[in-house]
Amino acid sequence: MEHKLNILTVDDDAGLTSNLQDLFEAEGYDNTIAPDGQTALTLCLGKDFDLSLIDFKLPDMTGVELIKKLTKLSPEMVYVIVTGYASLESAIEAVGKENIVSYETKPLNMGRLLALVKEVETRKRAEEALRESEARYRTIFETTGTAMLISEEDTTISIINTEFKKLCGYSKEEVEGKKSWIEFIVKADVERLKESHHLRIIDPNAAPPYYEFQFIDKHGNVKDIFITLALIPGTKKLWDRLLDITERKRAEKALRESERRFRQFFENAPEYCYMVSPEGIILNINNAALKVLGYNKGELIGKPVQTIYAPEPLSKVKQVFEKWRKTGKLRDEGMDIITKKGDKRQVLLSATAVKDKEGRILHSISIQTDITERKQAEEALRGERDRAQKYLDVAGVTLVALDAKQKVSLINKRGCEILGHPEEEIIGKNWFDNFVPDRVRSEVVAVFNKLMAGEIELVEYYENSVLTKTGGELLIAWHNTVLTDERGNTIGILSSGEDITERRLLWKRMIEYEELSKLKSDILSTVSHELRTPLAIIKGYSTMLVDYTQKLSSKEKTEHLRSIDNATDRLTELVDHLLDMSRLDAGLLKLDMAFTSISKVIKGAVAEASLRTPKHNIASHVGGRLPRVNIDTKRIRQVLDNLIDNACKYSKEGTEVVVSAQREGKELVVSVADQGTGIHAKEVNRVFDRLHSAEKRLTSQGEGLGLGLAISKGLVEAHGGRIWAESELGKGSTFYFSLPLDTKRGHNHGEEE
Amino acid sequence: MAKRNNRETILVIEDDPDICGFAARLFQLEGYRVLQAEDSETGLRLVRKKRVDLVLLDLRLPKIDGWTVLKELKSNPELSSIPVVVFTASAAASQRNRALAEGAAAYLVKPLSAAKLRKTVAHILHHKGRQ
Repeated sequence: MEHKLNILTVDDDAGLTSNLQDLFEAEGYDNTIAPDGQTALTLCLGKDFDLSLIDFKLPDMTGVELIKKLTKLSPEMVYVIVTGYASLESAIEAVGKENIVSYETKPLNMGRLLALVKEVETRKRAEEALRESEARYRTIFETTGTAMLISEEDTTISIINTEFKKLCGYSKEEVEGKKSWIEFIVKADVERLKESHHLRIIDPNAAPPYYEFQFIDKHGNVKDIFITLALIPGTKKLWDRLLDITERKRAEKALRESERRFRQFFENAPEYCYMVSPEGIILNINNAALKVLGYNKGELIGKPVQTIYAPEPLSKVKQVFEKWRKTGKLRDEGMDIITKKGDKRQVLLSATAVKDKEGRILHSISIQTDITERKQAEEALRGERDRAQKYLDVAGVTLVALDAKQKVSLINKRGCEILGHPEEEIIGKNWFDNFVPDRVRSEVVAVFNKLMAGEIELVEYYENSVLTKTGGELLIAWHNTVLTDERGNTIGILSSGEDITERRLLWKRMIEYEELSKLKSDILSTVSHELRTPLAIIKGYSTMLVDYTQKLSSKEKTEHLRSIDNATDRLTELVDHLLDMSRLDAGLLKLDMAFTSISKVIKGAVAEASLRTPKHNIASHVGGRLPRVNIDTKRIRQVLDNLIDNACKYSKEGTEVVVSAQREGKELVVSVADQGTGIHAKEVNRVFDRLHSAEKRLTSQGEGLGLGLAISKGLVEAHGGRIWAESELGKGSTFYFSLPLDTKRGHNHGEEE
Repeated sequence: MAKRNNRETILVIEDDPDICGFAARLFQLEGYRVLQAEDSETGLRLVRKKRVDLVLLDLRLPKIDGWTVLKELKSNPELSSIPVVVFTASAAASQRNRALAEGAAAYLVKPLSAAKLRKTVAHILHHKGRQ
């Protein structure tokens, strides 16, 4: 940055200017000569001069006038005034001394002038260096990104950077050289900062190099500022760096607030709060805990956490502590704590781990909720409930309460037994959906809903089936009470139910048994009656034969003996019937099965019946080819005989009895039709009942036990067939029985001709 | 021993032909006049039209049973004096008591020996004759 001084010499004395030119050129300076003021001004427009030698008396103006004009064009230029008169000092005063380096009088001392020029040159160089340094410095000052200012000793701000401009909200012009930094400080901080300023001016080390204070900007916004100050060496100027820490402050404040709140919570929480180290040492404990435990703070801090827990079971404390160390949290662990006096209290312990940035556990925050009273209350309530439950359970009946939404709210032991579910599978379930059989559900639900809606009065007693776990049904006799709230609204129903399934079954069995015993008694009475008739014949004739043997002809004796013989046949038949019946009842009847032509059996039966009952017109209509049937011929013949005899018995002499047989699908159907009195529609399917026939026998005519049809039914069924009757009063009856056709074997045995 | 000249008339109402035949033959052998009816209607017609000294009555009869006949005889003042001997296969005591209460002179249960039947009838007729 070596810069030769540019010199402007303004003088109308050509001899002098030429000498000066030689002098300056010899020294390496750049010298320009102007003979008058106007030329000098023109030259100054085109070039910067550092120094100007000006003759005081110029042809067009005075040297002072020229300096005034030149200062406007080139403010950094300095002047040396050359004059023949020393008396013009007052005029020079008016120009201002700053830029006039010297006054030289003519004749000029060249050596002195040169020394002067050199001095100016040195000063200019120094100023230039400073300017360059300042420019560098300013660049840093501007581009550092931090708000900065430089202030004077009297607190006036001389320079600010762009960041400060942003911070304070003013323009540079509004601040620089005009404002004191004190104007930017909130009142509360002013005195403190002023004092530090004075101290610093006296001794740079006497005041702290940084502060925090509150800054107030153009718009009245208050900002937290961290300021670093330094004296510029060798000056009383201060270089200030301002850092806006408002956000940080706010965060810190929030943190402090949060900490304060935590502490407040910790100290004042009704729960028992502890801070415990990872080693299990109590670090802090709150008032509630201290109060309940009966210790003061000093007695517990630094003690193992086990101190406050009941010694038994200690393993539980260890286990829970380990759990916390592993998982970093605990949730509602039931623990027993022990007070200084040795009283136990029950608490629910929850804890979290507070960790550092590396994830190491710093300590736990443990909170204990005292549930001693609650437990006691619960215990008392449970006792009460248990007692009530016991009463309920002791009851031999089912007790069920339903809420208005059909859900079970209570059920006793017996109820659970009946349904076959444990209590927890019943409580809360919809009663009707789960425990009432499908077929009655909608009906029962409708009644329940009407009851809940208050549309109907309570049905105090009803019988209904419930569905058990195994899918079975039990008949329950229910007694009901409506449950109401304090305002009298219906909120549910309480029912006691008695399992009457067994009882009902017993009733049924009793009735059946009674019917059966009546039947047996009836049968016995009938049997007795029927036995006595042939016996009377035997007894009567045999005693007559003995008593009157002299008076009776041998022919008559033979007749009487034949009557006795017939009577014994009747007895035999009765006994056979009774045996058949009891064998059928016991399932002991043995069939002697063989593939047989049904046509032959029918024809044989019809032929013999015609002999037995010659006054009826008995015919067989067996059409087509019929397959052979697998039957016990003797037994099927017995059925046929019975049906034909009945047909004859209940129809007038001379009428027709027709026996037919035909194939119907997989069955062979045999029918016996009469033209008799017929049977009442109500009776037609009861004629095969023993009871029915026994009743009939007792109250009406006819002989025999009346077991014939019952026996026929048993025999047909023993063959795998069915027996039934169709009848119309006055038009006769047709009795049918079917025999199954074993199709495979039937084909193997061929068809009948 | 009954005497031949007694010639008392006995009506047998009995639906079983063998029993009816037996009883009738027995009474004939004993010298009684015997009327036989196999149903109640016939029996009642006979008792109203002819002189009858004793009725042997079966209880279980077709259409109209013996109970009705007994009631009819005992409720008719002209006929109520005729002794009725019930001859039945029903051995129930209730039946016996009922029959006696309704005016039967005797209740005989089948089977019965010829002697017992003869003696009972003779005793009733003799007793009646004495009165």
